[in-house]
Amino acid sequence: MLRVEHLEAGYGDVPVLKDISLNVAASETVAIIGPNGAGKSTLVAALCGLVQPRAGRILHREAEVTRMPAHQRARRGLGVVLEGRHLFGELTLRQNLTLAAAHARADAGAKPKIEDAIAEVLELFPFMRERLNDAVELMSGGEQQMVALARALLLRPEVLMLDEPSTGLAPLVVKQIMSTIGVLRSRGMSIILVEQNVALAAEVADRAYVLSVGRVVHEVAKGEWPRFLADDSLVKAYLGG
Amino acid sequence: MTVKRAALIAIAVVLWACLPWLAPRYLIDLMVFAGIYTIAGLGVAFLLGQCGIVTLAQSVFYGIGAYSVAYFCAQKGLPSPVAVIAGVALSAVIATAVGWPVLRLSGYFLALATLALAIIGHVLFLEWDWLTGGTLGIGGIPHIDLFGLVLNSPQRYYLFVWPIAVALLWLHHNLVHSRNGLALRAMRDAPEAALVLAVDTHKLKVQMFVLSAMLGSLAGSLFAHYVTFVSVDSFAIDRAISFLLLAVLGGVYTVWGCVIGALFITIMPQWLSKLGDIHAFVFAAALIATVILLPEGFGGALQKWWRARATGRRTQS
Repeated sequence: MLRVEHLEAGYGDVPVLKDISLNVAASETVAIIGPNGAGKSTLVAALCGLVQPRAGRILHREAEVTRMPAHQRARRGLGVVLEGRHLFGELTLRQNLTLAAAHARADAGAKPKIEDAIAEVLELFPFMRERLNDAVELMSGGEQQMVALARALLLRPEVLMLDEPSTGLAPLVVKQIMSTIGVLRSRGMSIILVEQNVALAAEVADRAYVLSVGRVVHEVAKGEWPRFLADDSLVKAYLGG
Repeated sequence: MTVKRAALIAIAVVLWACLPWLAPRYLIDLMVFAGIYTIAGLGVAFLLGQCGIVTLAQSVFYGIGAYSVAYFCAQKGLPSPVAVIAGVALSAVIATAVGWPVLRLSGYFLALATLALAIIGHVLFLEWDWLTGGTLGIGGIPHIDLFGLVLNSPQRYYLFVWPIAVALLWLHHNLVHSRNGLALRAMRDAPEAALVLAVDTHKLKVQMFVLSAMLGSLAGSLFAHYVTFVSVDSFAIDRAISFLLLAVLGGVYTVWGCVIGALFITIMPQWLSKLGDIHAFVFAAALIATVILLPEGFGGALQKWWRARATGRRTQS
């Protein structure tokens, strides 16, 4: 579904990602884990088109998207929830959702009506039904994170990237978000989960790539989570735990 | 719409329609200019308020609209609608050609790029005297003939210009509250999030820049038909600054703000001129005080007051 080959990217003259190669299959959940400053968020920014790579290739459904602008990647089905949520705070929840639904990917069969698409997403987040006319800036951090997730889902992505969705949230809210990710996974969506909390990532991800100083230093293969988590030396070496 | 609101609108319309017979001629003349500046300033306010773009290039498009009328009507004898449409179309083409590369910039760099465009435009208006008449200008521009009614007095032009301005304000209001308006506000408040929500922010910016330029051109055409003479002095940098000023003073987040801004920059200097030589200083002080005390402009302050009043009433009941 998504393949990255020898990707290099950074900001200005500062290189951040060095020779990153990874792949995400259809219906697979892959975690990107690593300590602060490893380049996880830069990787997400490069994958969704907010940072232009200096070298390497990004392929979505075997078509190269490396130089494609961010809005076109979103239309192709690469959805993202950025770290820090980036909501349109002045707009109401309904307006946030409407804006996303209006730009939904059109090449996945008949595009549902905006109202129908919003109703579908509200099934996942029932609390939103009562808050549709509230300004998003007045919501709690957890609610805002769910709005960001709902907005990304309204684009009907094939691959959903989540950049640190649990940061700064109460354990109960984190549980709700992880449970939603579980639902999406069961529906066959490919998910890239960037997460600092390794135990949390292990709960939902099939596999993981460990990033350190801009490089993939380890790969946790399918079924290897228990061995990885049990090996303190591995966790300490890669994640500084 | 409530009865009270409908009554207020009806009273405003009656007052507006009676003004030419109640107010002195010089005031109606100023009101005509305020109407024309409202249209040009609307484009600037829209770009600043909805897209976060500071433009100083509006004087160029204002000039294109005016010279289009001067060239096609006064020199070629073509009817006014042809000249106005030609000016608007030319402005749209130039705004697209310039906006596409320039609008990739942001912040101060973008403002400087539009300032450069204003300077280049002014130099070209001056140098291309075969087309613009240079410093001598072009005279003999006919008044608009509206089905046999020649708009050759401030009173008639006032009754012609303001409905156009109000119609454009209404269209602007509708655009802000449309789905495209949501995308604009999203782009202004969180540009990266708008991009990853599949909003083509660059294209949207260019489209809005073109729309703003078309408004500038229309205002320039109306100006040329009113004063019947155009010269390069009317399209210098100070004109671009005054359009930006009226947008900021009026308040860029409210649709009606630029009406207040246009009235302020048109009428206030005239009233203050009674003070003699000191009037320019007093006007400058008034501008600074307004910007400091009302950072959201007159329109923003009025809206805040109105909302607070409405909230207070709801709380009481």
